[in-house]
Amino acid sequence: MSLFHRNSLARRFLHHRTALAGLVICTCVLLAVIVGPLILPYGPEDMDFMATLSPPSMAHPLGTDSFGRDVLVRVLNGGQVSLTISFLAIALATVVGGGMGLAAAYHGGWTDVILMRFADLLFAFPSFILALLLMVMFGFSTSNIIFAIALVYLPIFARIARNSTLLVRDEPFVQAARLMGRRPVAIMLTQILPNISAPLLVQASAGMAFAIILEAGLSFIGLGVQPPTPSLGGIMSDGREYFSRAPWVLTMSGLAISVALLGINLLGDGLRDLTDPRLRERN
Amino acid sequence: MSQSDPVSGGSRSLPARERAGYRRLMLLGGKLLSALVLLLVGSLVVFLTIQAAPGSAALSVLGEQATPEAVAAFERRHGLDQPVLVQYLAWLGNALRGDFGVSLSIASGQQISSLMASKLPTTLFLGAYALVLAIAISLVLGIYAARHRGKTGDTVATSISVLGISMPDFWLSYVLIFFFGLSLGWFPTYGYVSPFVDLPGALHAGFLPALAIAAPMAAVFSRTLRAVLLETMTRPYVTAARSFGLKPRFVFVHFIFRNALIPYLTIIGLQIRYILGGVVVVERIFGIPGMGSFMVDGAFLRDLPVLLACTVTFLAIVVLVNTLTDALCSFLDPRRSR
Amino acid sequence: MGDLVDLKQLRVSFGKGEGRTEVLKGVDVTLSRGEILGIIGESGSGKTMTGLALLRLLPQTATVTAERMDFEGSDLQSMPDRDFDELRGVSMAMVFQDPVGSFNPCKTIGWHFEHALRRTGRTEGFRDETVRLLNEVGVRRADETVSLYPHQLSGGMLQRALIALVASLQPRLIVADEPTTNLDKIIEKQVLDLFLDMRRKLDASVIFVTHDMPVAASFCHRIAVMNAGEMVEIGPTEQVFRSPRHPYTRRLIDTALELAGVKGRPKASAAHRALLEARADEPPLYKVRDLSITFRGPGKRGLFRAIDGVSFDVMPGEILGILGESGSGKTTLGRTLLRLYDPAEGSITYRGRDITHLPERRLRGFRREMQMIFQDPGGSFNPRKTIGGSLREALVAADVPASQIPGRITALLERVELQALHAERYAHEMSGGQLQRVAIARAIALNPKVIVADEAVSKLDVSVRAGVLNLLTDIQTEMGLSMIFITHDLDVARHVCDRIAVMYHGKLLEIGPTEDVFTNPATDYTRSLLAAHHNLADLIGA
Repeated sequence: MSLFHRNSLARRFLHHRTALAGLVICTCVLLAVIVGPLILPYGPEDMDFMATLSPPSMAHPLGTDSFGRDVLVRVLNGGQVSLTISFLAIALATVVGGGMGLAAAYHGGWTDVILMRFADLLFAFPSFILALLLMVMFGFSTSNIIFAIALVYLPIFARIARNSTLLVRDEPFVQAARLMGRRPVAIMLTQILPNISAPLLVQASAGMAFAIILEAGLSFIGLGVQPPTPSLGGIMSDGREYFSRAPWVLTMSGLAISVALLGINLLGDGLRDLTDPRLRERN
Repeated sequence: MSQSDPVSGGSRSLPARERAGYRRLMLLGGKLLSALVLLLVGSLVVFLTIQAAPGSAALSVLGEQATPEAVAAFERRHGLDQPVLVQYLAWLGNALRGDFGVSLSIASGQQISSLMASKLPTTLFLGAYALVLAIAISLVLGIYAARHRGKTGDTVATSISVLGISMPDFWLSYVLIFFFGLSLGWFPTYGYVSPFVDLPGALHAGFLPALAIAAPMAAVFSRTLRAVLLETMTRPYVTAARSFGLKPRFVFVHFIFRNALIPYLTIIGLQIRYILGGVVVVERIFGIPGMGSFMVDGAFLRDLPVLLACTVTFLAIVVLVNTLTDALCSFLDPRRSR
Repeated sequence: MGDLVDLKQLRVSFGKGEGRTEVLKGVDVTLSRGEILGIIGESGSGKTMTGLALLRLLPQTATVTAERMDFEGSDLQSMPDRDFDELRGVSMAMVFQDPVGSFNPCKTIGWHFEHALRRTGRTEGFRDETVRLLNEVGVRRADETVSLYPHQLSGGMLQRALIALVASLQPRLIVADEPTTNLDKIIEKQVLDLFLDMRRKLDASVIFVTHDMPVAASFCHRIAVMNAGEMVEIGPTEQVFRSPRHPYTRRLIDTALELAGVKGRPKASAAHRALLEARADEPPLYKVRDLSITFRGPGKRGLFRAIDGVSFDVMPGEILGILGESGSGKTTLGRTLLRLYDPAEGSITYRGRDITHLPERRLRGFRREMQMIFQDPGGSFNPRKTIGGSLREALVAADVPASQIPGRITALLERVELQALHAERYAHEMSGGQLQRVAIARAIALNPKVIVADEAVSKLDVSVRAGVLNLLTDIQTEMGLSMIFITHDLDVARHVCDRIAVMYHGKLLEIGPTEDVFTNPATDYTRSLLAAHHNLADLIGA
């Protein structure tokens, strides 16, 4: 268990090509989806029936869709929606799942058995099927998408938190805290949590990518974010209907997803390389 | 805080070899049992979830204007007036005999099991095809990257993997359709050929959808394989094997790959839940009449018995595959069958 | 000289450019046929690298250069990998530190022998030959062992099997890298004897890498001493140990001799005697009666008794040693005294109060009186906190007012012979010896009445051990606390303890004043433990 303090992590991060590339792409994507809709001259639902399905041009850099809506604006707005949903879902899954795993491993016994059996059960469902079922049953609201995605990824965080806690739990410094008379909750929060946060963080960044895919997949088949709210999956779904006449709608929204995923995956890989002592090597 | 064994082992005597076989059998039995329990609890949870959902099944079938009498008659006919647990047990009893009830809205009144009879093999074929492709691609990429670690080949193979996981299956489907279907015309872009009628035809027609599902998985598998191979290479027994003067190829196959196989298979087992998710979307894009399309139709029409049957079937597939890979891993790892 | 191996100016470095670190800085080694050369040094001295570089077993990130690197007259540096593979095993072989890790966990013992024997040109009769080889090294039921997997054998058996495996290749040079460090003392002696026996039969030369000076002194013809990548001294064993030339060697040997009791023992200090006498009439601090602790066994079947019916008292102001080998239950016993584990049977009375089953909540008041110093200095501190932060935690727990804390941190660090500036550091930025000093500081910050020191110096390098031990005993006497000193090291136990309890397989075999146990052991086990022990002072006649 040798971890390093923040200063050196930040320095090493900037020297790690993969992590840096990921960071640059993620920053660009974030800037684009936040600033883009503010400065572009159209709204996501502004229709222009004079220019339906027009190919990319100066006025519409990524063309327009069948309602004459600007694809770039829709992709950026959709990206904002998709990223927000994914981020909130993964944050929820990390906090709740991580907390479950931490508590299960620290307390052991029945707490462990019950919490982890619950996680195992969730984990046995195919991810997309579980999310789809929850959406159908509880309605297509944005908050339900967040809950559904969070529930699908919760067991992964629970498992990682549990395994990492088991590694740390019997470490002398945790025993030393017990001998100082600290309360279990204080030990979990101040001694264990900082030492299991690295794997959770790495998993959260990987989970972000999966959440984007899951959200886009649900919206793509029409069981996620409902029109007219733009989402990346929804735009792709629109685009496939007139794929042969106007391929740019589907292509551009697809590329947008890929760029976002690429950035997140590179960032996640970089973080994992930098924080996993087993993968670290002399070079 | 629970107690775990702080010292390893204790005294070890030489166990008789025959007992290992018996232990393996017991272990397998235990795994099957826990898989069954998981399946039972899982189906109960799905059943309860569907029961708890807002909206009445009767109204969604009969229409909002249905008379209370018609609703009551409908509920009596389908046993919906019974307590939930009784309903579940009745459903379970029927499901164990292969009877999932009748469809409410997709194909009103038809037996779900007869609808599924043709759809399940279709989906299993597509899933298995994708799995085989994913494993084949990942073996090539993963082993190549690990053996050329740090060189250009590794960078290329690793980059392909990163691109692979950045292409969700539904988006990749269209890229494949565009290049291999529309532009090159090598593969059909829509429709389905049954493998029982025409196997080569099925492999040809199913190639693009299978590849679309397989590519992101292959990326995950090959990254895992590369990582575990590299980690295994640093194990002391590999250095020891080299110190005995064993040939590098022999060391790679019997020491490195053989030991990396176990975590690799474990990851594959865990990824089954994502493969089946891919099946749902990709079946719709390519117009394949499988379980995925069936379930999405059921979802749109709120055909609750169909949703229930599909979800439990998918759950059963995951549990079964996980149990199989788990059993395979403990068979491959002598330490686990102790 | 050096008709078998001739190394000149061997250099090994990792990495490139700025990040390059040199781990061997020009080492010269020669070895004649049949000779045993001991390489001794502390962790990080590069002693292991020499052997690995010779067998070309270093990872690819390492750069190896040498002015000369000859084996039996042929140049190793220019040899292609393919030819080198032919040489490995049958001409030069290696025995590794970790016998469990040296075997492929997925293959049987017999499989390993079959492929090793194929190297020697044999094509049949693998099983019979394997059984013969295993019998020769004293593996019980060799016939059955052939078809077992590595995890089914104990470490000692595996190390025998590994030696037999290397012997089957009949190499002319064996590099042994700490081959017995992970074994218990009694087994270590048997394995070492076996090793020497094999060497004699094969008439092989040996490079014996070890940190254990008594072992090196008793087995090697010549000794090379390494420090920080350099070979500071090489010469005949007697000369190196009796009249070391290099100051580093002298310090190393002095420390080892101090622990071996040549300079007197701290427990015999006047202050310590006075403390014991002053508190002789007080009631025992701990009364332990018929204590048993069970754990769920490996594989989750059945219960495993880690401690089995143990009874003893701990007196105020004394240093009680608990002596035992790995798996004897000594660590479990120590942790149970602090109620980090729950006892299954029996009772623990602490200062007249039964704490056997006191719940965690009500233990908190007692906890500060009972502190522990752990074996692993690196794991003793939260890696995310500075040393000062860890000490602050302890002081807050001891209800020290916030305004006094910074001053107390400095005072504590100075008491353990560190400086105020160390408070800013993180655990990974400090050495093991320094960390163990901080661990002592953290323990005394809470004003404890008893400290359990669990193998407190066994992970430290020899040269800093005596310093930490003396600090620990000084503080014990100064604060008048009781100490339970858990160790497997006979020299260390004899050095510091007033009384010694010997543990074996969860049972307490005997307990008595240290010198009584050492000079007049009551049980066969203690006698064999003493017989397997090499005291450096006796060996070199100091």
